[in-house]
Amino acid sequence: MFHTTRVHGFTLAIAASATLLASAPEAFAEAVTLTDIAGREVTLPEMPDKIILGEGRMMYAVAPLTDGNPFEKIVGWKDDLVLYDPDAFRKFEAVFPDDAARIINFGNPYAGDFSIEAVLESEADLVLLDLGNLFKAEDTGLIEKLDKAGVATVFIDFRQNPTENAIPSMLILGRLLGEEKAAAEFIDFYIAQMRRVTNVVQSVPNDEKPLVFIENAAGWNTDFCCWTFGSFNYGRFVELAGGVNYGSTKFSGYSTEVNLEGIIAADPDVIIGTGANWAEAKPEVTATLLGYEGEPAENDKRLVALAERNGFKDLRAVQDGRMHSIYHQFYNSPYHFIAIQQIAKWLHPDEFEDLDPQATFDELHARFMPYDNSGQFWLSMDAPASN
Amino acid sequence: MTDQALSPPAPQDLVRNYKRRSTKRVALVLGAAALLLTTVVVDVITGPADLGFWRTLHVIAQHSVATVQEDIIIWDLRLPIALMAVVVGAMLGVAGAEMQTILNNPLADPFTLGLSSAASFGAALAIVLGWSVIPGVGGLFVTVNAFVLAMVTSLALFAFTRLRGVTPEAMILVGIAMLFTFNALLAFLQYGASELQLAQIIFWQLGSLARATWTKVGICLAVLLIVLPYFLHRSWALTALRMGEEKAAALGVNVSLLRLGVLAGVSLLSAVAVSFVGAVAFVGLVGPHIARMIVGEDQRGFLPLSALAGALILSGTSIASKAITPGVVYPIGMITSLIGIPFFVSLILSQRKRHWQ
Amino acid sequence: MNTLTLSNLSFAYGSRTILNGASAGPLEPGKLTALIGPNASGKSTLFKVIAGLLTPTAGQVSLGQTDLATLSTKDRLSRIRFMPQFFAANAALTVFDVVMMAEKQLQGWRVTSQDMTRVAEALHDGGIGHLAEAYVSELSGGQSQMVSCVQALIRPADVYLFDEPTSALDLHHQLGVLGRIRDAVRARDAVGVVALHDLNLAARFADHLILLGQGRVLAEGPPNDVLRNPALAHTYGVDITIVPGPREELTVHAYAS
Repeated sequence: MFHTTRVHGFTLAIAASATLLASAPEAFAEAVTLTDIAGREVTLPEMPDKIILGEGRMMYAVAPLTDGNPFEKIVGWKDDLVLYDPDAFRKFEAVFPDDAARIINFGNPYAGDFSIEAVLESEADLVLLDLGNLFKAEDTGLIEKLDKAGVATVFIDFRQNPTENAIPSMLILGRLLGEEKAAAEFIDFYIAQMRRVTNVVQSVPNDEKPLVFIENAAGWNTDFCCWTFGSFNYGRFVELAGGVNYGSTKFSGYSTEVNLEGIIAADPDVIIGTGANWAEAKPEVTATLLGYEGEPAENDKRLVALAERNGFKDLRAVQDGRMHSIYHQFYNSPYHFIAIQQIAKWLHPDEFEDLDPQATFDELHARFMPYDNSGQFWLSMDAPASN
Repeated sequence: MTDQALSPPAPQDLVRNYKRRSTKRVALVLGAAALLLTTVVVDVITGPADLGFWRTLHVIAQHSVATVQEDIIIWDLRLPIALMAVVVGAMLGVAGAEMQTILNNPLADPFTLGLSSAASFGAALAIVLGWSVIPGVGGLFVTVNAFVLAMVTSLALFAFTRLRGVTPEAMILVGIAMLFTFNALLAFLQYGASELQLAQIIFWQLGSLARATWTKVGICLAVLLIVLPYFLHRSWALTALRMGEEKAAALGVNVSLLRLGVLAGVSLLSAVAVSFVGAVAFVGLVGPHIARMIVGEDQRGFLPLSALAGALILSGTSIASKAITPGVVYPIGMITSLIGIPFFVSLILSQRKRHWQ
Repeated sequence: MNTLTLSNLSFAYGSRTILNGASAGPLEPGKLTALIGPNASGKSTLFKVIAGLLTPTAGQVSLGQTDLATLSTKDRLSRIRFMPQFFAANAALTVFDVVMMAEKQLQGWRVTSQDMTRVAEALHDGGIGHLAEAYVSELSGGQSQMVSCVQALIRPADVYLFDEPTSALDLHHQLGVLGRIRDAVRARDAVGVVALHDLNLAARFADHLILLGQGRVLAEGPPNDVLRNPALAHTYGVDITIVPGPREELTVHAYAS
């Protein structure tokens, strides 16, 4: 249980043990009881030190909370980070090559390839699941099975209702990782950065809010448009950033399919597509490959191609150079305030003239992340030269 | 037995009755065609963009007057969807009608025989696992996978009919077994799918016309125009088959050859249809039933009316799907079931004559 | 003239032999032959072999000088009419529709007024004109037998085969149907063969009898000879007494042996 690796001598060792015993006895001697995002009360007999991530992308939240090696307590995950955000995975891999190789891919927790036996063999004591899959977890009996095996499950959420659940999720993670202080620090930063947008948007009158169409995963389907969000996730980001989300005007759900004709008819002021480096898992995608390895020249070409799709090229937003693309994975990470800042800047360039989302993102990396920022996370299209 | 001594009708009365019925049948087919034309027009003039009736017709009649937006909305979005609904509806109606005929079972349709689920499963294989059944087809591999699995399934069903002593009833059971197997496999893949993959799979599971293009309409129409004339040519033989294999054989029908040819045609129709619009339940089952209730099973009326009934159902669905929330795309399979089943049940309840019993 | 001759016909379903060298004929045109024999003696199979729906393992069927095996299915079926007596009765087809189907011989989409008149007359003559617009799914067993009979007789042919055409009919209709069959065969100068269970009916209507048993023809000839042949009683496993009836017909009385 002692992770006092930097102890150089006997005295220090005694001092360290004494400090630990004195300051945080409950951290390992007593059970941890918490209420997770699903509203379940979960009790762990002791602090977990072998954790499985139900989604690899939970590393976005684990990394800023851990000082040093974010993989320290992680034994396995689902390989979605490797598949859908390979750029971020390689960032981790570059700094922690041994850990990245050691992490076991348990596969999808809700599919047959997720083996309880393998979980037991890894001696895991906690599986972190995402709220969006609560139903599947209950339906497949995953929670019960893990519970019988003595493995706790805790739900967190950065996707279903990110702007509401990010802070409690970070608090929960802070407690589970024994990093309450780091969590508090991150949450301070999060609140400050969110307020930089919401404080200004508060005073923007409704009739000055542009109509925004969010195209969820633009270019994922090569033959079809469009998926969008309701008043959730990126749809909510748009609303917080001072825009009217097209999807929210049409339906009340989380996300849906809308038809292109409706978009042509509404002719939104701004179009924002989401993109990530999906090309490695799904080579045919025409999406912008945004992320830590995003190349501006390549993404420019891809954004132009997306804007030239039939039906898009004559839209007002495209003609006015107000078609943008942004990193898809902000939708499943605690850094969505970066997306909100950038969207606010796109929607209200004058009000947010001094806001520099890139600087915010760089600061986030400098203060919280084990690696530096790089690549490209958003871009805008120039207005066509001919007009 | 009725006592015919009372007053047996004269032959000319019989001829008159038959003629009246034939005329009525032609009128019904023409009426259905006219109704279909109406629904297509309604389908084309409705949509989130308010273009107006005359303006829409003007743009269709005279392509050059259209603004860029009108051009895209009418020619690239609305017309392919409206025509896709008609062609796919007709394909499913015809496929269902002939499956029911050759298998002598009222429950046979591309959906109940598992072809739709096979297509959905093939598509899901491509979407979730990235597997391509036929390598080198590029971005089309989802559609190709769906098509190949549907075809393989019907070939398997077909191989099954060739086994000695396999009855049509057994075939239906095998089809239903396939349906459940593929649905289970699909559910398995679904649980492992990411959010985006799931959204893509739903399209296959519940069907959608939103991805219609002129190319797809063209391919579907070509398949329909190859298969339908063959079915029409074998009208009498198919009608005879409804009297039982032995009777049909005595009338000169080569029953196993007919079954083979028709099953091949039906497989092609359903595999192409489901690989473009996903699994649309109910159209292939109910279209023919409506036709049967209205004109009976003389294929000269039954086949065209099944095609028209299928086309009408899907065309109506296309309109309905736009009317629920303008701008939002609802899966058509969901709507065909919701609006079609009450209609079907009321038809059955109001029907005096009961066939298939 | 087109006489029908069966030479040494054999047929088996797998290892189960149904016909075992059955020979009969030549059967004369214009005459009605009754095929009699107990259950499972091979009557239906023999009909299907003659109609060409089953291929015999040995032997041949000839019409006049023609070996029927040399004809195409279509030609063969246009010369030989075989009507199985029962059909799937769940179809949404009217009696007029199914007789029209037989009239059209699966050819051509158009129905001419000539076709319609012929069907109407056949229905009328067959005594089922009142059923013309009824669905076959609503017919009783006897009514559907009468429909089959009309279907068989609607087209000219050299040979007509009827498998148990009267088994579900009442007395009145049995006599009517067999009478029409006999008249049609005579009028068209065709070979007519009727499989019958009722030996009295066979004695009454047939010009010629064939007794089938165990896949062989055990006796053949005029009713008077065949009915008095000891093989008859032996085959059916009963005692048989033949007495002349009140109108000079033969009546057959059977007693459990």
